[in-house]
Amino acid sequence: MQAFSLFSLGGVLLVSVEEDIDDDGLRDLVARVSFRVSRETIAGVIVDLHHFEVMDSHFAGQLQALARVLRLLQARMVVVGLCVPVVMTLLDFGISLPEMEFALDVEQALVRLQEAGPDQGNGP
Amino acid sequence: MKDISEVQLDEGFLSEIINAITSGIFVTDLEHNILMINKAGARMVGKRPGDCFDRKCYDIFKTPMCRTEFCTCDIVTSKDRANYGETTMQVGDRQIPIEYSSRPLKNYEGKIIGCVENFIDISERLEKDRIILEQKESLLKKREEDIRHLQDEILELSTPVIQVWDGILTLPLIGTLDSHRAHIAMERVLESIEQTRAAFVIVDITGVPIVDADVARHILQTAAAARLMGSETLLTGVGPHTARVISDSGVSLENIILKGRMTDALQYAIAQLEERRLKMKQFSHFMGALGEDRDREE
Repeated sequence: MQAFSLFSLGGVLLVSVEEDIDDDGLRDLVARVSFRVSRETIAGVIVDLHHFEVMDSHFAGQLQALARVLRLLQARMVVVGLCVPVVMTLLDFGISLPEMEFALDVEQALVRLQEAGPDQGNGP
Repeated sequence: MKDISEVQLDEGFLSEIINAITSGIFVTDLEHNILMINKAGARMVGKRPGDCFDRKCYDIFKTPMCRTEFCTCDIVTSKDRANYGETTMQVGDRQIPIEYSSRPLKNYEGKIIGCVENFIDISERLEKDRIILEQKESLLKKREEDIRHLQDEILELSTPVIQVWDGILTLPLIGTLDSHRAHIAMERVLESIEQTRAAFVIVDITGVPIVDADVARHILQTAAAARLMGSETLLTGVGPHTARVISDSGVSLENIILKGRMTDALQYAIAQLEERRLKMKQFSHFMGALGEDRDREE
């Protein structure tokens, strides 16, 4: 079974990630998301992580890498569904994930992507 | 009836007096033979005085010090001085705590010929001491518990997270903000965000008397945590003094939206929420239209 699923929501790509995703799955995810973003007109990618109860620094690093790739492809990335323990762990590790945005849920993320983004100046 | 001054102080009468004393008294020679023991002393070791004569004192009393360098008889006879202390003696299978004092015994020439020792049973006293200590400890423990309980209560009271509007939380901070309190406040904010799905958190520091670099960092960390959850943090109540301290400390508050007063922050947050609600409406219209298109195609 695939550890992530992609949904297209009219210019926005929704990526739902399962907690048991492994390194290969992650590489596949980054490849497929960046491919879709480069081919279609996708303004934003919403990464839903509400399945995650724990997150390690490796995964955080991969997220950061995805955010950088998407930035180069001029798409915004919004992470949703981080739970309290995950947030506390990230803070304890001093990981602030500066290159992406966060929203409470997918709905809020969609609204956020409608708003003017932080890197609006770079847009087309 | 005879007056006490008329009583002849002969040997028999002296031994009567010694036997009337309630503490144990005994005399040993330099070879640890018991030359004399009074009734109270013999009773304490569960014997009669007659059973103890000419026996070695270490066979009768069996203390941990017996036949070691700490033997009180040896100490007083070799050093010609008094010796005091506490120990336990073994009577049958029972341990009896005693307090003893010994002095060297000299003959008319001043030569040391033995040792006089008196001892008392202190088990009752020790028991009393133990009870007092226990009571003291339990009292202290209870006090500590009370204090901890109060501290928890104060922490609970001092970091209230209030939902003032649908989607807006406030955290009015009062009093000094140490790292422990800051951590609790942060955790509570995160939990409240998770429960209420609040998009804005207003942190008010009007009631924090001393704002230094550490406090600023704590607030910044709370904002960082709220950001990861998907909420925005607004900071209000920054006075001129606080502003100067924060600017001097070099802590950047760029991830935080600063507003002068709580009312300003509320207005801003409500306006933002309203805007987002409208956008959501437009967006759902758009999505609905998309869906209709697809239906038509099918």
